[in-house]
Amino acid sequence: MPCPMDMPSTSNGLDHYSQRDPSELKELLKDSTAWHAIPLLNYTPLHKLKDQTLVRFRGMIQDMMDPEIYLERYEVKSSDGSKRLQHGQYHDCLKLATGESIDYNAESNVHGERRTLFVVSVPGLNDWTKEHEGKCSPQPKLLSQTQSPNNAKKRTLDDQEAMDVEDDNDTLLKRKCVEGTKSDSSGNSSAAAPAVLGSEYLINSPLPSRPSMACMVKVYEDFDSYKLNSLVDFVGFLSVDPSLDAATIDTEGFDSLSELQATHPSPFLIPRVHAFAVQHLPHANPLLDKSLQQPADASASEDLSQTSVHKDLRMLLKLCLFDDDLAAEYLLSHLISSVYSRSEMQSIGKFSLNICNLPKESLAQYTTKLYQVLELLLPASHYLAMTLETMNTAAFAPKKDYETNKLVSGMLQLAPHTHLVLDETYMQQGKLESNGVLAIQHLAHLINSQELKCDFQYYQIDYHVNIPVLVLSEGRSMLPSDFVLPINADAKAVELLDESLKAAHHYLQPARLQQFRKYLTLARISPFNVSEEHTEMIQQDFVDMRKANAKSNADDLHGLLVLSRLLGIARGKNALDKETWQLATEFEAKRRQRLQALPKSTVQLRN
Amino acid sequence: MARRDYAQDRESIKTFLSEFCKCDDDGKKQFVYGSQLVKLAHREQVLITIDLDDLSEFNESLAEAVIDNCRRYAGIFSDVIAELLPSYKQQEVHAKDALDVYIEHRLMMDARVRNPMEQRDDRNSFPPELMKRFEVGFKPMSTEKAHSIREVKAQHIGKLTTVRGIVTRCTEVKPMMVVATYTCDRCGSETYQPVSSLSFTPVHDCPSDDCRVNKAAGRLYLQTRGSKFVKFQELKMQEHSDQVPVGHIPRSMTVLCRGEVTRMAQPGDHVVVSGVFLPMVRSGFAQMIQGLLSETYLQAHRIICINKNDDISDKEAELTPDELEELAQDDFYERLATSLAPEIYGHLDVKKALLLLLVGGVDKRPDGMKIRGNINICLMGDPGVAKSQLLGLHVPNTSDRIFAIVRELAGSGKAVKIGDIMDRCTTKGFKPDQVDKCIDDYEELNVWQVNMGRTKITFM
Repeated sequence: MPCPMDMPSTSNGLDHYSQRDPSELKELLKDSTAWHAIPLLNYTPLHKLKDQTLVRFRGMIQDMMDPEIYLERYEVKSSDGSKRLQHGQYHDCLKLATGESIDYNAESNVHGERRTLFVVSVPGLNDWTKEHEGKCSPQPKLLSQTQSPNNAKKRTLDDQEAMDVEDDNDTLLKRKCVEGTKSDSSGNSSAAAPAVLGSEYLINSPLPSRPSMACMVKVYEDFDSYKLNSLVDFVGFLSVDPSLDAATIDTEGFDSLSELQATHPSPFLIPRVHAFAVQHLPHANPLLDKSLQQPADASASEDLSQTSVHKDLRMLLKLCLFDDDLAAEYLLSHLISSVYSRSEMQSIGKFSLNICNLPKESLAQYTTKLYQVLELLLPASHYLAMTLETMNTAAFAPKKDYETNKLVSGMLQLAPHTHLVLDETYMQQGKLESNGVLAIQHLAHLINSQELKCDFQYYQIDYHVNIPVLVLSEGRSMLPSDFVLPINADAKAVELLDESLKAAHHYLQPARLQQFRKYLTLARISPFNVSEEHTEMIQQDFVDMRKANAKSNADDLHGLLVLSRLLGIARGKNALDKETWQLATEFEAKRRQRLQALPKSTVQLRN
Repeated sequence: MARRDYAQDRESIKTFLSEFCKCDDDGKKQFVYGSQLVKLAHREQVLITIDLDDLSEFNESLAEAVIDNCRRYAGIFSDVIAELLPSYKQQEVHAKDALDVYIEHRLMMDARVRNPMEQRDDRNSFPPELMKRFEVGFKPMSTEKAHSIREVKAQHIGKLTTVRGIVTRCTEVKPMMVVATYTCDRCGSETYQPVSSLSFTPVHDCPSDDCRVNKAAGRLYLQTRGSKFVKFQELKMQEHSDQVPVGHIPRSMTVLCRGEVTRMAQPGDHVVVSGVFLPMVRSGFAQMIQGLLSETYLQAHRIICINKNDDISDKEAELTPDELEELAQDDFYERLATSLAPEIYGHLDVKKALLLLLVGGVDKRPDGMKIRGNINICLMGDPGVAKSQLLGLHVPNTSDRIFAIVRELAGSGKAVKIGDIMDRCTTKGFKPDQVDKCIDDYEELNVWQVNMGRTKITFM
């Protein structure tokens, strides 16, 4: 079957590469400038990219499909009887000229296996992150240069060619689009009642209010290294052949129309990328990402010492938290927390924080305003107002839809280190329906064990996540949390809240913001040790603690350890010392005092 | 690897089918397959299952060959059986359905009209598939382990494979054409077309000698009655949760069932499927979008539902003579009663009553009148005399037991504090999350309502 692929665009695209050894190509990509020079699909409009060109896609693995068995090499017979071998790797369609046909039974055919990953751009990515990443992406005009980086002489020529091609290529793509829709509509009229899936359903954003971009990435090796919900940067060949769209084909005779549509959505909605090089990303912060080319101005700012940045940041947070020093310390610890180890039942390092006792008079706007500040600091975060309606209607955990064989995403399917801010002050009296109860359970499970239960109808599977949760509430929260901190609002500060928040925004100049952003991510991924001698000290302290208060248990100790670790990291240390440990015990003691001072009536039984 | 001699295998299969026997308890020889062949010949049985354990006992290398090249050997087996069947016929079989009658008539007509010496066009002769009224299935060796779906790889193609999983979807059972029969509108001769894939291209021009020689250009018309159909069902199965590595999505697989293996499983069933792993051949437009891809499926030979009850295998369920003797003693009633909750001392009267409760039920008399055979029991007693332990014996469902505790706590009142429930339940050995689940379950059933702060429940 001839595919409309033998267009001028292919001549300098994939063919150019596939003739060569893929390992050679990978070697080439080890050079970070070569990696940087590839345009990011996330920030480049599709019509500017040609079919079969090299692109990059950054995102989170949202779903994994069943493996595909494809023809890695196949024999093509021409009408005149001559034979040739064609590579099938990194292709979606057969590559045949008119009059040629494929010989399925040829001895030289080689079958291979590849996997399809459904990748969405990182959900909850904040505006500044997007903007920065967009700046890092080279414009596709540079494309031809990257295609032959080792061929400097040809560069100018290629450039010209690319320019020439670009215009008619645009129209070409447009025409294809039109054709696609045409045949789509004609197909619709002939078929009795085709169940067409909406684009929202197909794209499957975890956060429907902040839609992601989706991409189907085909990977050819290291299948087991891909984990659900992890962040990956793929380099591969773009494939937007319109014949990939299930809507363009005659679907008569297929029982599962909706499944076919879900597995073959329009490539203009969800492009395909055939990946051959991959980088797993440890975090979503573009400022510290070596896989991104930093714009010149960003790196110019001087790096201050960690301790001074820490001091500034603590000041800022204190300003936003009604002048409460302790709260600022805890919030800062929360912002750099991350699950760093998992034992059988426990996820070590989580630091979910509940800031309660927010002053009533400023409640209405305070939570959103606080979030606005956090949004500026964090690469990815999501604010959820827990109204009864959202709780009862929104999808929280992912659920498998067997009709379409897709894992339909939920709000909690977030990339590692995406902060979830739950605003409980919006909760009103009313009845939580079954969905709401389930949502609360999912949230509680997420907070307690940093795991997300995905619903496969016949059973549930727990997936590890790493989502720090911050709960803002008036009284004590109905959700569990590792640390409950009643805020000690200074009466004056409450009055001056608007001014101080304004001052905070004013204080956050771009250069300073960059520092804070870098600091938070660096602190999150930095290592921390506890030496032998300090272990003994901790042990002794715990014994004393038990003597003083019989009720204290292992959880308290665990909390102290996590807190001291984060306090140490925040101060730029890489090992525990006595000072930090004492600071942590002191803070915990203060926090406990505040908790006891909290009026009993607001303390709820279920923790 | 040397090519196997199929003609020789054919012979050994023939011997195996007719001669394989096992000794039963009385020392008599039982022809396992011989007796089944008789039933097949009499159309009393449709599916014959070849146990590969038996085959391996008979000829080990043949059994291995069957596992490696299952589809081919299934064909050979069915040809051999078709050959053997006439000799196993002990009485005249009456026709069971239209196809039987059809076959009988065609055979009679064939014998009457045709010159036996004449060479016939292949397409005008009866294809063996049309005549076979039985199916062959293989039972894998007992040593064969069930794979998870992700373990099934390209190397399994063509082999007999056993896979464990859960059924997520199944289509309705549809008739699938195996042999298409056509009649020509000019010469009246019949043409047969065996169909082996999921789709087929109908033949239009009559290939018979009459039409060809006379250039009559006879058109062929499909005859539904003369065609052979089998039941066909497509299943989707998915891995069990324990087979999925951390951080991965469960895999799924398509299972095609034909004939007697259809309607064996429903969505939600845990199954073990043995079958041949094969690539699917698509044609036409589907080939266009997926020309590079080949789908795979499992052609099912045997589907077993594993339900919880099947944990006890048949051997364990049978009573040994010793056990029977033990049970036949006079104090059978007392023994059974004391074996209820053996950890609780005494209370024989209570246990007897509970035993009767357990074995009781509505008894339906032959005359249609219902006689009440069940009893209700109210257990009363001081705290801590093992009432709930005895209750736990009867109600394996923890939620229901917790409900009983809540009911007890509520007494005649309408509201109960969740804290109280939690305290009481934990002293009875329940875990807090079990209690939570029970509270949610019963709220969903609208038995009670939980307040916003989850501090108390109110009965509706």
